[in-house]
Formats: sequence, C-alpha cells, structure tokens
Amino acid sequence: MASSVVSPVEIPKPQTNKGRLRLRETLVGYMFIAPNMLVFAIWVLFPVLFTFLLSFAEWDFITGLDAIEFVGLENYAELPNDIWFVDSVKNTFLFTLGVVPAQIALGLLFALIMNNQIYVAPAIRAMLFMPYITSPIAVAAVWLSLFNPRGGPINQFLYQIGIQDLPGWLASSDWALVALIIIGIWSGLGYNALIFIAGLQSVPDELYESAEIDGAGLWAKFWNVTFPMISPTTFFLLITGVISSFRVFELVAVMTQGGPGTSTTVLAYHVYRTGFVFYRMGYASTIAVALLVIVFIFTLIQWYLNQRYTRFMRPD
Amino acid sequence: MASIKTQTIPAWSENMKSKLVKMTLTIVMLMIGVLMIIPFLWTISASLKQERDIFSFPISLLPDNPTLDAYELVLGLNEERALTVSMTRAYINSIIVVIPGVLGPLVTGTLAAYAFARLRFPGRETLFLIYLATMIVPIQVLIVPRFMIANWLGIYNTLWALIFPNLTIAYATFLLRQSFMSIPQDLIDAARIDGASHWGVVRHVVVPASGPILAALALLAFIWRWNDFTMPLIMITRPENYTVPLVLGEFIMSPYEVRWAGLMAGAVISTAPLILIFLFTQRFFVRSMIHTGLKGV
Repeated sequence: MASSVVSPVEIPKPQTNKGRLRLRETLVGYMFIAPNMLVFAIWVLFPVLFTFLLSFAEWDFITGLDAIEFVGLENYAELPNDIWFVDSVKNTFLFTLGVVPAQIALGLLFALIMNNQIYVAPAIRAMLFMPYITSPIAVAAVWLSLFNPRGGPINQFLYQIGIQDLPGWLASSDWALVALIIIGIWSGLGYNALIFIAGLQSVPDELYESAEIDGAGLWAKFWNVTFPMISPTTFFLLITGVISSFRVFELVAVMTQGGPGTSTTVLAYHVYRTGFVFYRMGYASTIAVALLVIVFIFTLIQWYLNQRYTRFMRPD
Repeated sequence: MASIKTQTIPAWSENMKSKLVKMTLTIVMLMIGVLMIIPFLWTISASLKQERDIFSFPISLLPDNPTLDAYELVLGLNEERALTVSMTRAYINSIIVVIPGVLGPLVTGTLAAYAFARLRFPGRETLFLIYLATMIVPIQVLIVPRFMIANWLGIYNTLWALIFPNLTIAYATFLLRQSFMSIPQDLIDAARIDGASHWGVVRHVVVPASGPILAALALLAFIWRWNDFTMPLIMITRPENYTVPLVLGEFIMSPYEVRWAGLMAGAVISTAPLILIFLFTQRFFVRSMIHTGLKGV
C-alpha cells in the first residue's frame, strides 16, 4: 500500500525529513514534466529559436548545413521591397477585417434570437455549428464547387436573379479574396453564436427586470444591459477570431495557391511558398518572424483593451 | 408569470403572443440554419450524381441518376481506374496518426499539468511561462525547423513525423493545469496520508475527478489531428503515407483523377466521422468546445 516513493514518516519532523520531502517533490516534479518538456523542447522550443536564427540567413536546405549563409539584416531589409510580402500583409489584414466583425455581429445576432427559447434549438444549433467542425480542406472542396464560375450553384443562382456580370470568384483577382472571406464567415459563425449563447445565459435576469421597470425598450436593454455584460465574451471572440484569421492557410493553399496574381497571398501562405516551393528557407523564416510579431502585437493590444474595458471576470 | 387581472381579458393573451413570437423566431432561425448547411447538402447530392449532371443548367439539388460510382472510385474499389492513393489508405494512415495524437497529449499533459499545478520545484513558474508564450506561435514559425529535424532524425516522409511532434499539446497541458488547480487539496491530502505517491494521487484522485475536461481534450485532440493539413503537407510527399486531408487536397489540386464527383465523395468521406460524432454527442461536443474555448487551427 505505502509505496516506496514517500519517506517512512509522513508527518514531517522539524529538520531532516522536510528536506528529503522537498527533494522528492522536486524530483517527481521534473520526472512528471519530462515527457512533455522533451517533446516540447524538440518540436516547439528549438524550432522557434531556430527560426529566429534562420531569419538572418539564406539557405536552401538541400545543399546541406554548411550552405547556411548568414546575411545579417538583409532579409529583413528585403521585406518592405517584396511585393509578395507587402501584399500578403495587406491581404491578411483585409481577410481578418472582412471575417471577424461579420462573424461576431452575426453570431451575436443569432445568439440573441436563439436566447428566446425558440423551438428545436438543438437542431438549429447543430446546423449553425456544422461548418465549424468541418476540416478546412473539406470546406475548400465544398466551396470550390459552389463557386465554380461556370455552372456552379452560386453563379447559376445569381444568373437566375438577373445578374449579367457574373463574378469570376476564385478565378478573378477582384473576387477571390471576397470568396475566401465569405467562406471564412460561414465557417466561424456557428462557433461565435455558440459562445455568445453561453455568455448570454449568464446575464442575470434581475438586470433585465430592473431595466424594464425603468422603462427600457428592446434596444435600450441590449445596449445598457446585454452588451456590457457580455463584453468579456466579445473580447474573447475578438482575440481568438483575429488570431485565427491571421493564420489562414489551408483555404489559400488548396483553393487559390495565393492567386490569381497576389490577390489571395496571405502571410501564412507566403511563408510556406517561400520555404517549400522556392526553397528559400532563410527568407521564409524572416517572413514567419514577421507574422509572429504581428500576431504578438495584436495579442498584446487586445489583452490590454480587455483589461481596461472589461469590468467582470470571464464567466468560465 | 400569472397576471390575474380583474379587467376584461384581452383577445390575444400574453401567452399566445409570446408563442407567436417564438414560432416566428424559430422559423427565421430554421431558414438561416438551412442556409448554413446547404453547402453540405449540395456536396452530398453532387457526390451521388453522374459527372456530367453536377453543373447542369438549371441546377438541381436532387440527383437525376444517382450513382455510387464516385465513392467506389475514391475508396479505391474501382479496379479499372486505380488512384495514386485512395481514401481507404488515407483513412488507415490518419487513424495511425490520430490514436497517439490523442493518448499522448492526455498522458504527458496530465502528468505535466499535475506537476505545474500541485508540485513545487525550482523553475516551475519560468518553465510554465515559456510554455504559455509559445501557445500563440503560428505553426508557420515551426514548419521550416520541424522539416529539418524530421530529416535529421530520419523520419521524414514517414508517419512518425506526424506522431512525435503531437505527443504533447501545450494548450491541453495549460487547460489541465487550470483544471487541476481547482481540485480540493483535502482530497489530495487524504490520499497522501494513506500513503499514496504522487503518481498514485494522479491515478486515484486527479484523473477520476477530471473526467469532463479529459474527455473534452480528447475530442479536441482528435479533431486537431484528424483535420491537420499543414504539418502533413510539409512532412509527407509519398502518396501512400498521405493522411485524409492530404488526399483530399490532392483531389482538389489534381482533379483529373477523380473529377468533381470524386472530389465531392472525398469531401463527404473525410468529414463523415466528425459530423457523425458531432451529431451523436451534441451536448457533450458543444460543451467541450466551450469548455476548451478553442476548436483548432
């Protein structure tokens, strides 16, 4: 029953056993985190550090380790002059701007509607949520056929309601990003709605009742009670939404490969293409660092805003 | 809410009006719901159509001459047209990758989370902070070095390259630690007094008390590994080692082999497990997503 791990006397005597217990605990502590830390060190920590290092070099990997050529800040200087990089930053921002506010607004709208104890709520919830759990590749396959410029359902529908100038969608440099944004909103809507539903349920009824007593109408109730009370939820969704939008990759990789032109090249894709299509691993690392910095800055900004403007603890 | 008034009872009682409102809202949301899943319905329908009927004008949701040809082809059951890699093969590969990808993080995560939450050792806070900091790192920052390491370890282009890095999930460990910190100290003390080692505490106190969060994380890990595209894209170029998303991606980017019907069938097959799990465990699924706060990238 008593394992050999613990020293014989459980109740610590003043000096000796306390030291041994502490040592024991330390050893066990390190042992327990060891497997985790091992994998982490090799596959996460070291890669992050190595990417930083590589961002200062030019390397094509194929010709071996000795081919690494350190070029100092040259790669970083190249960034602003690289049309692909500049466009990828622009496109990533545009994508995020197109997707996140719409997701949140629509998600909130649907959550508010569903908060009225409507019928068949679980079924509706399931329908809203299904896009979210589908893998990005399957989503890409599905929407690729929907957006088919010739004969795809969307354009056929648009044609039937009288639109002559049908958008080229993924084949058009004007519309490709729009198509991706639509897909992005569709994917994330359900998740936002779900989280909002949970958040709405934690708003105490008394607040609504006292607002009604004060004569508040529908909009006033929303603006003065609902909205402030769910602000932690809103911030949470804003942060996670922005961060995951910045990382958009699969959709671009399989649907457009960054094109037509540079119209759908996003940061994450640019990293991949630079490293694994053009084999400039050093420069790819530089772009990756740029992506990391941007994500980091946004995380900080929103964390700060969260601290300042949210008055309540997150209803976990 | 009984409002007993002694005046005349209005023609539309409160109850009826609110029922009407509820019905209207239900219908509105149902329409929106249907709109959301139309892409899925279209995909299923297209996967059952003859190739030439898919984009026929006018568009129809129901197949005229339904056929399972596309599924046969995609699953590698068509003897005349052999694919470079079939969905069946990909399924096997994905399963091989997913199982350690779920068990690994649960085991390593539980141990590490217990240590971070309940044990004291030098460097604990610093280590944990470093751990946390890397959670916001996008995968692109890791792809180049991981590619290198896989090559150096000789596991490039094998499924090991997809298994090893995913034996630990930082986010899972983080959540487990949060969860373990709220286990009452008395339970742990009681076990310790009975002579349990730390490992015993984990086995007999922590794990039983953490059923929901462990289940939720298992689900999360499963989704992440099943849908993972980026790492397999980097690590695997040999078609027979493709995982499900990779094969589907191949179908998309080189459609001459399977054409549209095959692509649609492939999409259905690749998503089916998750959708089925979702439909059968809805409440648990949804609660897990909210609990863990994140789907997966």
